[in-house]
Amino acid sequence: MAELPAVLLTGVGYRHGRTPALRDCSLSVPPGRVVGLIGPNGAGKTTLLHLMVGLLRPDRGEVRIFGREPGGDPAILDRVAFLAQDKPLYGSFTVAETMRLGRHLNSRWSDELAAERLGRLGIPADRPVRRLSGGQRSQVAITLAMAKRPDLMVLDEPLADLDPLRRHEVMSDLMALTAETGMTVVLSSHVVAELEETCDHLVLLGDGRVQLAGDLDEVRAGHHALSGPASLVAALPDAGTVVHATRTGEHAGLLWRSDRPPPDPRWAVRTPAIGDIVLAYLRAPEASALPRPTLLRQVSPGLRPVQTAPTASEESR
Amino acid sequence: MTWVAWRQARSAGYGLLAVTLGFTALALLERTEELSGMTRSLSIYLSLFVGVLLGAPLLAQEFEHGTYRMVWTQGVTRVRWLAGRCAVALTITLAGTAVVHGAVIALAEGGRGRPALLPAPVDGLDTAGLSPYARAVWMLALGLLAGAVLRRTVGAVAVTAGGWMATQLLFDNGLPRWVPDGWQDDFWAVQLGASGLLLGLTALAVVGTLFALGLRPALPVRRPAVTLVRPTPIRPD
Repeated sequence: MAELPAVLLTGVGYRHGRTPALRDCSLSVPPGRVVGLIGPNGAGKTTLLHLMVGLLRPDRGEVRIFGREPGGDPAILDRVAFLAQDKPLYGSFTVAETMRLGRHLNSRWSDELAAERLGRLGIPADRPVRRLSGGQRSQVAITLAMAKRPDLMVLDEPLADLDPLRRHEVMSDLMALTAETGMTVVLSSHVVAELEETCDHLVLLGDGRVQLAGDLDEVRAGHHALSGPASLVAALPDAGTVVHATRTGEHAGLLWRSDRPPPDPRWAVRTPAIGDIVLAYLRAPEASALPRPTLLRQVSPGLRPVQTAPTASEESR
Repeated sequence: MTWVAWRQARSAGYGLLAVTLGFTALALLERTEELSGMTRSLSIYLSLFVGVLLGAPLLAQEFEHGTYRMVWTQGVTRVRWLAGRCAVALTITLAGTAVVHGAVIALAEGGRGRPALLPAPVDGLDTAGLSPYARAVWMLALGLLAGAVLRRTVGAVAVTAGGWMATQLLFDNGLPRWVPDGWQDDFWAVQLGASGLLLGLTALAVVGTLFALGLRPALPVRRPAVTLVRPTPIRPD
């Protein structure tokens, strides 16, 4: 039996009132991946994460977490942890009471994990959450999510208000937990460098659409940084796409997406850094490389199942 | 869930306890001083405190502080979470109302040879029998609904207070006018009817709250089956 994807989105659309936040988003995240969700501010990252954890329901399309609809399903609620961007906690609860809340509301809760982490970070258990520093609050919220021992951990900008040392701590704790339990992590950020060393899967969201999604190695292998005479651009093979190009006089530098580099030896080819790839896509919001999840769908009773083949779709629509 | 719900209701519970103690003290005072039924007249305000202290902030604060995003992603469904919180709030409400009601009957009026359970009908309509309980529960539900819809504590408190005044108007002016003459003879029937009306409104408010939270009871809809197929990798060998 094929392993169910941790996260599966098919044709998801969502509107905030009249403003479309997400359009036709499809992606599939295999279990065990550490996914970096990247995108500029306002690209719809938070909306996408809220859809994953069931705080929002899609207007169109379907969201499946381990094959089931998130939000109302207790079996999924127990397996998914979420850390919202502003790390909401009850201010009047002490740290210990916050952990007690976690224990009461989650069947897989680990007291040891919570106690160990809070002890190591030196966070006083009897202090009300509202009297903690911002960084400590974040750590309490992250601990609450970790001690739930989820199969999928969704974090919205978890590192935003932590200093570099704490960032490192949080990431290494996350990685240790991932290695130990095989959990899937989805974390959003607008800082690419932050994710490059820790993530093995990338989802790039631009203006409400998934522009790029895939394992980092695949993404790297599928893109080539070319530099050479501008006159050669028109002669590039059809099997690839120019994601972004810059031209200085007769010289062109471009990011080219294709399985293999162009045959013309006059191009100087280099494997681009993930940061460069992300930047190129951000500069070209209309470009997209969508790996479509393969879906066998019964359209309506009586019709034959239709199989959508996996396509590396070149263009948006 | 019960512990969490109680922990969250604790400060509002203490506030209501203070109000209850105030009423009890007033009732004790009325035993010795001539206060002309002040405790009974003032006891109508208990439901206002219930709505404003307990009902309105219950959901509004979750939205205002964004904590619903934390608590709704724990391992308990929203329905169960709401049920737990409502159960605790309802227990506090009924206990507080019972104490004040008891204080009115037993302490304030009990010592004066008046019929303890049957007050003068005209001012007893909203303070006797089931009325205090129905009103308190209705105010709690209205507070919940206002919080779920407005998502702001101040707004929810204002709406709840407005609802309390409207209810009072109904009891003071509406009911005596609408029911047929001689209703005093059927005091308990009218009284029960009024309580029933409030409990009906309560049920509506609860349904409205569920809708506002996106918890409408799921109708069985035939969903198309979705099966995932993994493409077989072609290996050269």
